[in-house]
Amino acid sequence: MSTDLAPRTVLRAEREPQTLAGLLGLHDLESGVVVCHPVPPRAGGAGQLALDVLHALGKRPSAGGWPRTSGVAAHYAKVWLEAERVGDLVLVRAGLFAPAALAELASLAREAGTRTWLAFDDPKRRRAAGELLSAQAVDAVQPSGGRCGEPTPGGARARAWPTPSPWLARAAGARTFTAQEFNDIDARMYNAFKATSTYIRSQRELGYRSLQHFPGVMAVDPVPLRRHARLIGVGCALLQHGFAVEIRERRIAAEPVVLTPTRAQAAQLRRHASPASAAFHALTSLTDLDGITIRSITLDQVIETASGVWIGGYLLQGAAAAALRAQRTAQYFRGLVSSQTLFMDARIRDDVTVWGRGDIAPPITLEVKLARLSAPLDISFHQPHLEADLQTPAQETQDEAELILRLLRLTPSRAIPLARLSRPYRAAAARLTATSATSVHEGLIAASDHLRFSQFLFDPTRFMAKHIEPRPWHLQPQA
Amino acid sequence: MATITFNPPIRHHADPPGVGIIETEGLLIAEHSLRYVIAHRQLGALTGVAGTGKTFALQVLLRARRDIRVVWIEVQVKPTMLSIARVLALALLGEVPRGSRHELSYHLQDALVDQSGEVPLVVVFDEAQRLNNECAEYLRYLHDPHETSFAMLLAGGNGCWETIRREPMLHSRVHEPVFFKPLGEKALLQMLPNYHAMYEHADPELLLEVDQQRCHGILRHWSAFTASAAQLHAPRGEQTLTGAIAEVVLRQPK
Repeated sequence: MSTDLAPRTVLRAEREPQTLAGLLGLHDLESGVVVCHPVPPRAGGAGQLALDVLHALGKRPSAGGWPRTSGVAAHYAKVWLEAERVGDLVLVRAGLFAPAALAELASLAREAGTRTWLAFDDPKRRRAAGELLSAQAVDAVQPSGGRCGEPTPGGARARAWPTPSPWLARAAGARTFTAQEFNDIDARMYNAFKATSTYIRSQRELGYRSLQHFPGVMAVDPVPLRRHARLIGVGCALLQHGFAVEIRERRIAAEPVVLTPTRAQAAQLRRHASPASAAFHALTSLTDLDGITIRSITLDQVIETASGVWIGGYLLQGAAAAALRAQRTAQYFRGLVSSQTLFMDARIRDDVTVWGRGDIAPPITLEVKLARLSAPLDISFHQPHLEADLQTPAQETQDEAELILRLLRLTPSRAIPLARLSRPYRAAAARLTATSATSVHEGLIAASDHLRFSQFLFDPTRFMAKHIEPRPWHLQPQA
Repeated sequence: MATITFNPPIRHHADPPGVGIIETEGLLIAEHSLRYVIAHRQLGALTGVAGTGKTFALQVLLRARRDIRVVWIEVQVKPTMLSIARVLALALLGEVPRGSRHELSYHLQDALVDQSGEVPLVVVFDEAQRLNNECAEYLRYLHDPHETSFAMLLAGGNGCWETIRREPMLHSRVHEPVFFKPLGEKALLQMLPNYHAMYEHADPELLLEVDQQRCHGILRHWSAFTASAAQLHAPRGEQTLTGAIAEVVLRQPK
């Protein structure tokens, strides 16, 4: 971000065409310099400088999402200046505008971290505006261009928290973390659970490709603990849909697929004034991610790096990165928190131009093994067909998962006589009881509260009240 | 974008029969200037006293050309930026897009900038003396972007050049303005025989008398005079302007 954001005024005598051409020639969005050539206002009027800035940024009314009010226009202008990493905004013909309008523009730009240059050709108007804006009078426009990117962590590997069993990770998390930490992690876990459940319902078949990629995208998180939480959420959803699952991280660090829009693609993306529309089009047209996956991505899964925006295994650059940044910023402006999804607007159209989708898949970061169990937890769940190319988890894992589903189908007060279980399930029962996932009493086995809590079937407040000493407890996720 | 060849009928004022196109100094300079303005997508201006042939010259020089695309706009009385934008949008895009003046302007700029690969676009604003400060600024806004690839011509009669000069942002951009002046006596006597056959063997003194009393070197007046005189010639079968016919026409009210 620029260190000094005070607006500058410059006297350019723009009535000379070569002078104005020189100023207009400074426009280079890729380098962070935007030259705004405004529509003249009515005499002494305020004009629509926010709209002019959007137009200078490449936005077009015909692309949809064009702001209908000046408030929305100003908001979008700020969001896009920040998202495009614009360091310098040059307004030519500034003398046509009322000083108050120029002050609004300078304030908007300052909030976006952008330096403003106001080019006048009338010394009196320059002086008047300069006094109102406390602007520096300079001799020439000398934009420095881009701003510093925010360095960020790269591919974080999941880090587990102490838990006696993978089936109890959520319940164990409630003991390990403070309320705020737990809320933070639980929000990611639940998001992955919900998104995976939606994804499974939408699929006719689950195969190697879909099971490598979707969980991989869902698990993206720069914070290792959160990544682990997301993987647990994915596993819980698969179990409830009737699948035993084993998920392991690949040892080799996967490099993201770098996607840089061509000049024409960048211009096409930049036509969208609405951040949601621009970001959705960037993802659907450039990446291999489908609509359901894209709608499941959370705000904190849009990861800023020094060389672009990392999302779902792709590193987006240029206009595509700006679109993602803008949408993330717009959602935060709306009051959303980082665990909420990047896209909340169901009206976004899916039928967009596709530029080379399917050509380059993101790297595989997970190994997922899957086997179908006898039935899902809720029999109304749609169960997709499993393709033959899938590896299956260990038999013990399958037995435990089967038993857990049988127990979770029962009301909490009911239990199954151990004598009814066949030999492999008895062994699974012993293992689950040893880790407090189940309890055995007088020859009857039942799911413990720990297990129900871990499978999103149990009210965490009740669980905490019974099992943990009282402390402040808020279930709303924290940013 | 529609490509319709600009092809208005060549009409002299009052449309007298049998008249030819005379190559006035203004017409020749305008041809030279237009060639440069169109080739370099510049801003040109044709100005001068009403009736000296500016519009006629532009129509002659631009009509039926397949190497350019001409959009001809007559500036209305008391124009606004919005009215200019709407007329231009209709001529360029074939429709007026919905939206505010700003949205319309963005559409227009895109349409005007995106001309590469096509034949040069020439936008003519006739009666440009009607432009006010706001509209002049607006025309400059449309023409200024460095990628703009169209030529703009301002043509207007009395007060047009004063209007352009009053707006420094327009004035400084005009490439070699062409001033159309009333014809002097010498030029008149050279041109008139080419204009109509009735002047070929006419008495030069008589022609100068007519010019002094009625036409003042202004072609539009000569056109009106020629139309009236031709009407009187036809029944008498005369070929050359005589003093008697000239007197009858001069006695008629203007």
